[in-house]
Amino acid sequence: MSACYPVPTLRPDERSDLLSLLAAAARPLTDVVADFLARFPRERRLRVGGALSFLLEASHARARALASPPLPEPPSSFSLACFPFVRLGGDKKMLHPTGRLIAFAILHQSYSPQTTNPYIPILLNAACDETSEKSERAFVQLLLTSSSGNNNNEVLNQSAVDYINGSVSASQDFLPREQLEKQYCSTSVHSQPQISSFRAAMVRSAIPDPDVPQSCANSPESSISPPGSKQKSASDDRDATIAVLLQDKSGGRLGPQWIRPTPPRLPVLDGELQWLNPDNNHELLWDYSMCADTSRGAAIRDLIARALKGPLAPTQQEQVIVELTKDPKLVYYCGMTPQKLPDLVEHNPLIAVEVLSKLIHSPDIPGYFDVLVHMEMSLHSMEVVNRLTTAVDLPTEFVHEYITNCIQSCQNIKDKYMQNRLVRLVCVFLQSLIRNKIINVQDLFIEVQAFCIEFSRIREAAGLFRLLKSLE
Amino acid sequence: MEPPAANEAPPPPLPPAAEEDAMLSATAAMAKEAALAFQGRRYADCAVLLTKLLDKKEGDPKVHHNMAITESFLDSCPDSNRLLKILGDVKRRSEELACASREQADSANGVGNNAPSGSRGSGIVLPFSATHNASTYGDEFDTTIITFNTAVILYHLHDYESALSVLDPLYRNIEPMDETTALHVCFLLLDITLALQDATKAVDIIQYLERSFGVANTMNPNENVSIPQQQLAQPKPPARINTPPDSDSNAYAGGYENLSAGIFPDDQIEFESLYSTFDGHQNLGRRILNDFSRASADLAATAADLKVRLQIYKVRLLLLTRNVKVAKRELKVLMNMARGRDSSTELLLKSQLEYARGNYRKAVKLLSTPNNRTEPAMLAIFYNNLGCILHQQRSYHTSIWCFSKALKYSLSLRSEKPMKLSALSQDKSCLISYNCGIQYLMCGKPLLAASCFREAMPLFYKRPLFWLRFSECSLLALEKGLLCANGASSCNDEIEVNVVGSGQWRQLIVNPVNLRNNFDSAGVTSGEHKNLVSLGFARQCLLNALLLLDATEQENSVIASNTEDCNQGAVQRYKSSGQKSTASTDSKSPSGPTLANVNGEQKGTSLNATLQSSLALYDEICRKENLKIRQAILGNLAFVELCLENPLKALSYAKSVLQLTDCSRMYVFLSHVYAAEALCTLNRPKDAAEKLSVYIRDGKDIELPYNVENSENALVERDSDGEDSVAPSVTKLATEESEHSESLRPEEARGVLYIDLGMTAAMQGEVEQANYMVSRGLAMLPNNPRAVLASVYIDLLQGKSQEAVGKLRQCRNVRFRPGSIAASS
Repeated sequence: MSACYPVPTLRPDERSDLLSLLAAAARPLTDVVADFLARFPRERRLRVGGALSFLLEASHARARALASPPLPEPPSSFSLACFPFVRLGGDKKMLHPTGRLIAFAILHQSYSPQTTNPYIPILLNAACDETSEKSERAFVQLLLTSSSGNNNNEVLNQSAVDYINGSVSASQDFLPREQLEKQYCSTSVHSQPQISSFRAAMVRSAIPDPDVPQSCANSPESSISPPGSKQKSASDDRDATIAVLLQDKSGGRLGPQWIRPTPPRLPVLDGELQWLNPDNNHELLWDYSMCADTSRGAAIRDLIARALKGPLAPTQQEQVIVELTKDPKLVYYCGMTPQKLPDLVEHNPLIAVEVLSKLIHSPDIPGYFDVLVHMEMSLHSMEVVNRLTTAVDLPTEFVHEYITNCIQSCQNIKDKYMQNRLVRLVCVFLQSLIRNKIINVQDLFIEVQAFCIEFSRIREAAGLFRLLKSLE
Repeated sequence: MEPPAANEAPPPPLPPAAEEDAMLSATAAMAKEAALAFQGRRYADCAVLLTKLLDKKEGDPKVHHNMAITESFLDSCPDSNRLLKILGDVKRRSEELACASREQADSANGVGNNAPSGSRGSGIVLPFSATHNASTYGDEFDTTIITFNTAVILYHLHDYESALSVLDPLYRNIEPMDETTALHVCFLLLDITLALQDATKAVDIIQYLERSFGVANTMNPNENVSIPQQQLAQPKPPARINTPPDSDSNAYAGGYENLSAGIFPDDQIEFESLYSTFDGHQNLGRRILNDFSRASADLAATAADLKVRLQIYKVRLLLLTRNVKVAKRELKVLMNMARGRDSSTELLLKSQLEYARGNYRKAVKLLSTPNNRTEPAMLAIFYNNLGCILHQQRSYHTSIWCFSKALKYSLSLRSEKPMKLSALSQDKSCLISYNCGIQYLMCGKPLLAASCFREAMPLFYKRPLFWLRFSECSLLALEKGLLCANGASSCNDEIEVNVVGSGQWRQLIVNPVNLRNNFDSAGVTSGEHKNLVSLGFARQCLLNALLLLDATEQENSVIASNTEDCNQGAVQRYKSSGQKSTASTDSKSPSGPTLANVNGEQKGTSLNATLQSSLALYDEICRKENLKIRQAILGNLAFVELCLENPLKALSYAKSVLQLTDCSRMYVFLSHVYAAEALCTLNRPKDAAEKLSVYIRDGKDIELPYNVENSENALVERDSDGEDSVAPSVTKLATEESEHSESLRPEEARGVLYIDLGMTAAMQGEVEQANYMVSRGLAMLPNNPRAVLASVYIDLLQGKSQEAVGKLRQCRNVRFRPGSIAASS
């Protein structure tokens, strides 16, 4: 997880610049800071600041790194500033005391008093760290208080060496932490909650090697000896280490380690592997209807057209039926449409039966049924339906709807004679359907029973009623 | 030949009637002659005749069509795209002509209302129903054959989706079609649907064939089977084939008898006379029927062929639906039927059956028997199927060898000269490439697998599983350390510790877990693979898979509701076979006893019932598989989004895994962990801890998040009555275990939970709790560099740098690297 946020390293030239600045213990601090501001453009300063704060924390042996709880309010979005400050105590610092002063000065001065300095927490910690050198604490306190007052110039006008050798520190009173914090909290921008707590929880990952030979670790070294004097190899080690630490990619930070298991591969499913079978050969077909006699079925079309206008002679009827039987597909080419059905039914019910039973698989058949149900009730239509029920499989809904329609038609007729006639027809029709088990009586029992009772004066209705009762 | 321009002049002007008749007969004679030449495979002669015919009937779409077909046979090197274009133009032209002719007829009817029978103008115009396409308007502008041929070409080009969309309208309106063409349509459609694994549609077609052609009746094949003439077997008369009346007519006649005998009281009014007149016709009808049943006896041979063919489809369908028991039974029937024929197809099917039953030795034996292994197409099939069997026997590397060989033979078909259309469809390299890709995936070779999948794309791009597999290549590459992503584990993970400085200032810098620098990772960075193997591509694949899966499931739910309609009352006969109209007005149950089709329907009904039930079983299988696929897709998506640092998306995918019903516990675990990580990244460690704490029992212990059985797939039940019935179940079990071992074991998963919970604790400042959790986790994952580093992190957090260094020294996956000082000066 922590690898998500590698701290960009400094460029080689920036590294050497920085190292030389840190080594400039004899120059006045204002000079050093000015030099820094000149050499590093604004957009690079954040990186340098990060590197500096990293170096400030580094020490050489048995660091007692104690994680302070994450800062309650990370002051800005600058990532480096959000690290919990790790206090180091009693150990030799990686940087020379002079270098540390320079680093603090740069951290403090690289931000003008008007803007929020992201390194304030680090400076605050340094100012209140009782384990650190007194002179350093005093220096940082001076820096921190200076932004409100004006006495910083004299501090910064000295060189780092002068400051350490001087006696300024002795006269300094240390302000309590709370007071310093109060001063800065009022001006600092408040927390930015979107900062990942993964980042916030990073720890230093640079550990002083515990296996360093004791002789080495205990070798005397003057902490104030100017760097670059090349007297002792330990000093070289120190500088070299600083240089390499500056190169480190991770910025010396280790975040919480999360284990993200990789999802498993889906096992090969049954039948997922493709088993091959030989192909069936599908060849291109010749179109035999090319230039063919298109008058096929002309005779029957003619006959059907006549059948729509009046009854056909028996021989003609026979011809139609023979032709349709001879070629089961001919019916699709005989010129019938659902709209023409009522005429055909009225004039030639037998042909209508023939046509419909041949069309039973046609995608148009619902249209035909629809027309048949809604056409005017008549002997012929009933005859057609009756014959169809025995010839083909009719959809139950269609038969039911048709019967309902029959019964309604009987009730709606005003003419008494015609009504009697129709009722008798319907009764015979229903008896036929029931006897042939075309319909299940139970489905329509109430409706049919009511019909029988309504027309009980008619003999056939009474007969139908008896049939119903006998089936109960 | 130039295709007729679509926007040419209106139909040729009608010549006076007498001239027209003469010309008609002349062209008809020539057409007949050309047809004979075509049947006799004298394509050059045929082309000459057609050229002459074209002189007489300029712009006639059908002549153009036949010309194109003849030419494609003639030079036997068809440019299929050109052919498709010609057919498209011809079809459009036909439809325009039909339209023009209809308008003409309408106006003619409007004026005179006469229907002159012989005239071309209105004679062919049959305003049958406005909802139908031109095919119902008569022969002249009928585009059935054109449409069919288009579908044939698309089929050979493996473009099954398009072929289906072209052919399906024909099938929906198949009733008016003559039997020969109808059979061609049905068989082609069957092949297409089987290639598309659309079992529902295939069942529908098989049922239609059995119903309409009476093939199901094995008892007395001559009686009510209407037999089509095979197109090549004998010259087809220009008129439609006369076929004996089907069973409907039988029952029809019987029905009249019934009716006249039973229902009418003798004192009835007009009925009586009418019915009695009809009795005469009824007898007539019978006479005709008898005539034709005699004729049908001649065609019994072709009917037998037809039956064998249909039976093959049935077995293939049953194998597709994995109804092994019924497949075995039907295959036996097929073997009996096919006695004395070339039985290589049957033997292959038998081998496939044994393969499906897990009798791999027997499958290999059967596979090796067909001895026509000389042509590349058969060799490709042989090696491919052998590869499938070897995969089941877990000989992955041999299996790869087989698939590569199959691929080589299959690709050799492409270079064959002269190129035939059928050679195109015999080239199964897409399918074989897919098999090959799966195999590489199993062997841990993501780059090769990905390039195989790319080859398979044209045939598989509509399948969600394919895209899931494609994405798995990238995930595998990640696992193998060929790709890197922050936070994702790989087998090359190691901790790098930089040793910086010297002397007393020496520092150890602990770096995050990193990929070992290995040089084969260079493979991924090469351009070709970069597109196919990357996290971004994996995400794209997974999104494709998700979209397709949603689409198929939506479709299925629509079909399911349709079938419910069917059960409630819509009858297939009424709706005309196969038509998925939603008209549900009136119907009757198809399996109920009916007056028509009493004889011979019995067997058909029972087999239909098995087909339907195996279809239902197959739907259930597919549903389960889709669930597995979906949870894998969502789980992978959550993982990939985490790798791509989109915690919000990762969180939402992880949540949707948890919302799946019947989600496997392994994916529940994974999605908990992914969600928790996303929450941590979103600065919500408390919520993350909550997610993970579902596994905490008794305060501090964590239960196993899943166990081996429910982690992935339950054992697949096998039909094991074969001779090596014990062996397959054993190997199957072994398969489960070893496949499982590739993924996280439950104990390791528990370790992961401890570590991750420890981290959430650390982030909330509960160092002690974190320490406890991480140390327990480390005990379970002693070799996991991330676990080690987690423990190091906790130590550093507590300032125990020496313990941390000790742990690093002990860990196998730590490399101490001297820091370079060279650049410092």
